[in-house]
Amino acid sequence: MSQLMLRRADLRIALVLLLVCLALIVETLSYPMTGDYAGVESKWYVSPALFPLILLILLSLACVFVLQNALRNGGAQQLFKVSSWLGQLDDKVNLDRWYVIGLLSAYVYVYIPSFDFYLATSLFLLSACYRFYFKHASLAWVSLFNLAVVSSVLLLRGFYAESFYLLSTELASDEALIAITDGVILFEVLAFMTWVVVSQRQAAKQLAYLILTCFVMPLVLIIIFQFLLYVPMPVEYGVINQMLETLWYVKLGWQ
Amino acid sequence: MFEQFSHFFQILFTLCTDPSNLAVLFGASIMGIIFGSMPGLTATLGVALLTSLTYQFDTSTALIALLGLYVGAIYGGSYPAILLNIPGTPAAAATAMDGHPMAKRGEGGRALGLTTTASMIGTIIGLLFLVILAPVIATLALQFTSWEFFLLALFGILISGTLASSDMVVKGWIAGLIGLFLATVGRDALQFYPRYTFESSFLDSGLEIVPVLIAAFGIPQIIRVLSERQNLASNMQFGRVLPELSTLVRNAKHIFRSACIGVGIGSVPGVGEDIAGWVSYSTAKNTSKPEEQAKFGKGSETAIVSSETANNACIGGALIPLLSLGIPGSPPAAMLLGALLLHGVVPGPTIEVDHPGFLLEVTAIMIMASFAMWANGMLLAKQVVKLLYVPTPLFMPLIAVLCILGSYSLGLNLFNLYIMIPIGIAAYVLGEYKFPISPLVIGLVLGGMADESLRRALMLSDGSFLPMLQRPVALLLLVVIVYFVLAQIPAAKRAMRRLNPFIKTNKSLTTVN
Repeated sequence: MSQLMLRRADLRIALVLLLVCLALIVETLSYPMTGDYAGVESKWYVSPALFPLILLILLSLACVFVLQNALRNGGAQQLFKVSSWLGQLDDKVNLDRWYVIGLLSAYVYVYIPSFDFYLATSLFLLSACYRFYFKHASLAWVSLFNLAVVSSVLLLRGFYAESFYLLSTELASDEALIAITDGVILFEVLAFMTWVVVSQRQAAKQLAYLILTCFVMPLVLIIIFQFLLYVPMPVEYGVINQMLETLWYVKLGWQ
Repeated sequence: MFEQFSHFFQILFTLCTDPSNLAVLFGASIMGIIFGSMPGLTATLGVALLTSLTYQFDTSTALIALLGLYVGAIYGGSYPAILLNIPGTPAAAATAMDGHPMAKRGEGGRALGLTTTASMIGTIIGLLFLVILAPVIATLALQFTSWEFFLLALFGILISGTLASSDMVVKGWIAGLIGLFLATVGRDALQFYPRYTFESSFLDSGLEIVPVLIAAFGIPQIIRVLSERQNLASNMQFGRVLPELSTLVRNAKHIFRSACIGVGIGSVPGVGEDIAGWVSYSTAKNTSKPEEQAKFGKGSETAIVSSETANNACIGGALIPLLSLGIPGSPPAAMLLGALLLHGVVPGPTIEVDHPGFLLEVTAIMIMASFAMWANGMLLAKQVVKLLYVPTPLFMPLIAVLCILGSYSLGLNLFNLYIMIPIGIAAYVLGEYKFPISPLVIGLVLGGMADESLRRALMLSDGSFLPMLQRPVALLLLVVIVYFVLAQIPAAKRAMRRLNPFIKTNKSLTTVN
């Protein structure tokens, strides 16, 4: 990376950090510096704000130094261009970067809390592996597929959940809602897989590896974590999860 | 001394005679070699992932697994470095310079054999230093009061920020300060006041170290490797693996010197195996005979032996500040610290008081780990190489799932996952623009100690900073910190340069006299 590009990036990062520092300093100043708290008479030197304030001031000073250095070395060029913040939209690496970030975010914030962990993981793996494993994988199709999954989940939540939530640290626990969501997602996964098989039928070996990675490996991981390490899966009423539990504990009688 | 040795062999015997320990050790070592040999996967990520799997093990077994993986992963990086010219870990970058030309000559097996043996020797020398130096450092550390602990944390951040920065030093400091700040999230230890929790009960106990570490090291790797589409596929001549004894004897002085360099660099907080490898490589080049110097970069065995001995000796070095002061010497050591905390072991000056014999146990495990690495390297080298043919686009998404499942399994709450993504993205962006991540992680680990120590020290001195100047160790640390900061300020630099001619004149006068 050239020095000029680094200085441009420095300027943007320093600006963002400075703004965050300012906001946090305002928040920190609201903490008790002196006076009584929890029955203890507080002095400035035992205040919970002391250490964060010192850090924020030092961080701000360091950012000002970086900012000044960046300004001196041409870092202000193209500051207001969208591409200087988000990268070139026609750059393949940049697009893939955003794709991975988007996919990871969808997996963590939408898929995992909403439906069966096996389905969520297969879906994530299918989207990631398909995009990067096949030479002529379509970014548009795989993005559209993920968008359809996210929209389905949000719609189902809107219609069936007791109260709609976009992000919540509470996991889905309504069995009926989970069953409906799992059914819809299963249908979407199978539809997408069929499309992948049809569009990439000339690469049979690659398809076999893809199926192994996306559908067999998550099963192995779930068995290791859930049944050998006793880590319950995030959504406990998922259809695959319940099937596995029945198989493991009831049919095979393993504990 | 005799009692110490007898205790040490007793521990070693107990550990070695338990078949389950051996199974875990060899399994972890192979896993480490696999992690190290996959470009994009690092020892840090391996330790991070294994930490969550060892949660239910007892401390000894967990340590066997973690140290076995750590040693194996540092060594494993040499596989792709030698065979494909792609360093599996940053630590193996120097090895690639000469290992790959050797492999191209059809001496891939010999290069790997040398690497394996040098790594084992490096690890053993490193842990000898650990046993000899750690008690001395621990005894000194027992004299530390709150002031020293606060300054030590600050020193750790400053030095790791300074040495880990490849662009501007201040960027390393910024990363360290961000790490320290992240450690202040949650209820403070003295007054239990909620800081930056934004009324979320999940933030009350602060940010969990392990998910943050997995996010800071794992997610950037996943984004980077997938978006840049790194791929592995190559056919290589392999040849004999076992190295000749004469080669090792010929390079004995380089091996010993490199081990010392590795231990020295490893014991400095925040500086990792990669820097040890490079420093040792350049020192070996500078101190070699002209005919050997000419071979450097073209397949020199001295170069391979030097860089590999140093990067593995660094492990023992990194464990010195980790175990005796609670300051991790390298990013994987920072991850190990998280794992130890998870198992209820708090490294620091009182470790031998809280857990008698812990240091000897770690040493015994390290010896076992280095032998397991050597045995695995010799027996499985040809098989492990086959894993390099697993397509990266299939492997990295699975690693992402492991990272997420690993983080979730630690606290069984979604919040750990929710914080992973923004921290991972921030770490990726910072890393892309040459802000080092290791000071951030070290800051997160040291933040609690720094905050508590500062306020406790001020409480004892009734708000006065004067006692800091009255204590010799604190004063020394303060002087070093001030020097480090001033050395980066242009005006101070100019002043130092103005002093330089005076010093030079004096020196030259002395020489003339």
